[in-house]
Amino acid sequence: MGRLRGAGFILLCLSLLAPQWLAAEHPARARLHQIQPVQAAEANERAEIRVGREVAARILARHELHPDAELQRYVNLVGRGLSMHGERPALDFYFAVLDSEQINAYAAPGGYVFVTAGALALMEDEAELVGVLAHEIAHVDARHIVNALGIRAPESSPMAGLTRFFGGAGEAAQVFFSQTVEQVVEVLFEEGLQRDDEFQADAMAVRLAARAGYDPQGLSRFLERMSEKDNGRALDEVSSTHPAASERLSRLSRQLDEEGLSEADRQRRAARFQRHVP
Amino acid sequence: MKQTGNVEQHDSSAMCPEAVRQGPINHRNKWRGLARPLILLAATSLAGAAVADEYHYRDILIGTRASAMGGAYTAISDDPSGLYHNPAGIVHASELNLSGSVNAWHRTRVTYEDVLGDGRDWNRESGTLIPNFFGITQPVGPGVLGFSYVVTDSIQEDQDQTFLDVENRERFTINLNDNQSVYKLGPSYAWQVNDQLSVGVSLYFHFREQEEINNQLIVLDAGSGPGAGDSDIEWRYVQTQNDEWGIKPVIGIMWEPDDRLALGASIRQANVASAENYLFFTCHGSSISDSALCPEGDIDYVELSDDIRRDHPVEIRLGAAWFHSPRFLLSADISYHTAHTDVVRGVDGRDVEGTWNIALGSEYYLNNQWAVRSGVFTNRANTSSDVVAHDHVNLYGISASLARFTRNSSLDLGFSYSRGRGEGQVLPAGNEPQTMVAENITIFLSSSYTF
Repeated sequence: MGRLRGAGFILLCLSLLAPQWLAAEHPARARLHQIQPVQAAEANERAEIRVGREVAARILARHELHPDAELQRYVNLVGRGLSMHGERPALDFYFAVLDSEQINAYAAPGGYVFVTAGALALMEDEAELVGVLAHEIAHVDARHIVNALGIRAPESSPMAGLTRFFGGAGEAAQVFFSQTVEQVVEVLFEEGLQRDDEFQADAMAVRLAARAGYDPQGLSRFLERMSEKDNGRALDEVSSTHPAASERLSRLSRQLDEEGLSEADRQRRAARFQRHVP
Repeated sequence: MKQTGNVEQHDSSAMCPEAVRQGPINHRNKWRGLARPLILLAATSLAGAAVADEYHYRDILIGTRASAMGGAYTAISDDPSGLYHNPAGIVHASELNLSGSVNAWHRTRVTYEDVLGDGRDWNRESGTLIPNFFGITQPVGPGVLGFSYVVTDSIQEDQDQTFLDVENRERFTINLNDNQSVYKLGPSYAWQVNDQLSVGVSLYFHFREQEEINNQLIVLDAGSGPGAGDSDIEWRYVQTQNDEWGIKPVIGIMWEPDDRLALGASIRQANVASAENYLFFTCHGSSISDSALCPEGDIDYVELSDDIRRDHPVEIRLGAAWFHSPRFLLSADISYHTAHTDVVRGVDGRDVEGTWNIALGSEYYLNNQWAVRSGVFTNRANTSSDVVAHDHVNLYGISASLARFTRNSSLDLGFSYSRGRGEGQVLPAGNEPQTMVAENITIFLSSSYTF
């Protein structure tokens, strides 16, 4: 026991004499299973962004960008400010106006959001624009397409064939990548997402708009006006890819009441909207 | 070493050996004078050392990673098993961490070669299922608090064997039941002096229990002495029981001069506060043969008890670990147990040699879900090769495991195996030392959780 006491005293002295200035972190102790979940999440996000970028390119191949640069800047400012209140504030969102008469908006994975000139023409204030953009941001935040199509980084995939998905080395991987992009485009323009995903995006959009200080009823007003509009061709796309506006409105109305947002007196910014949107 | 002794003896014959004929003795030296012949008597047939294992220190490796890495863990120690190996390392277990380890199967086997004549070996085997480690760590205040339970050795022998026509013996039957375990449990605390240096201490309650019953019956061939033409029997029964408890503090230090290099050291010693030792010996001598057990045809028995407290060695461990990458690490340990004087079964002393052991370990991640670990280690005997009365077998071992990780948990399946060949004196003194082979194998399944 005496020997142990002596050793303990020596260790204590050593600890007190330790050179405090030699401070250093020891990240090397972290083992792969401890650090790779974070790395995997980052890799998955990179994969999502890469798919989204390619989908955005396909969208722009279908519809040209609206030529009004000031309009593009305005929508980007509104959208980016809004995305900062979302669930993925670290993700870089990009917003663009498509020169299309269709009344629709699209969100590609990774934060690429598009709204058509036809939709903007139907809006009366910035709160309605925010409602539409918030709906698309919600799709990205909730990773609806990512989850539906299982988009992930190759090392996270259970399929061996995906291991070189983004490595660019394998032809099969490139084919799979192209197929994934095609599937996303089909979802956006033809098949639509699950109905529940759309309803969830509506609900998230209302809350996001409210958090950002906008009138949370902007999306409802836009949907009402859209449903009243007698223009079958302009609504073809949104009708085929989204639940009926009446059902969406019914759910939104219930949500606004339940969450005490019906009487919310928040900004609509109609004048600013009308200054930027011809 | 303090002790009191008490001897209760019963003579049935004036022909009993000198030691047994002595009256009640309370003085230690006189008691030892009695005990030594008894121990020799106990070794007259086949006795040998208890398998668990006063002759080795590393029969069971402790902890999930440590077991798979050959026990080379002094400079790693960053999970709950670090509470045992080097408590200073648990400062790196920054989250609530729970670790349990079950040695699904621990088996030992000692083979004394050709001791039964005609090339026949005598095997002593033990198989036991033991939960040998549980530990939990939790950051508290400026440091990390932990609690652990460790079984550092465990033997469960239950042997019934009969040999026919062994030299001049018509029949030799041995029934051996040996249960031994060493437990440790207690709290630990570690704190980080700075980013390079940490210190820690574990204060274990130490408990050891051992009980052995060794019953041997020999049916002798008809001889040429008195009663020639008739067979006769020799019989011996020995029961021992030893319990002890005390404390075993472990003091550790970890120095990390480089972000990839860690150096660790720990020192520990069990200090026995209380012990109870018991020996009961009965023998019956043959009337047709010279017997070393008891005189012709007599039955004797002796009962001994004492509270002699064993000395335990000081153990010093030094370790180094190289964290090459998140995927790969290497570690090495060297340990030294100091020499001391031991007490065998409460009544006999022996000089225990200072003993060095080394271990090397590695860990490699196949991906973020699977890792393989491996190690090599020594488990050298603390006996002298010059003293044949005690088994002298140096064991050399390997270990490996496959680990599967999920988000907050891990599961390990692995094994350790060690083997060695040496000499012992299982036959009566005067015979040449016998060659013996010892093997240990542990197959373990363990899990840990981080909250």
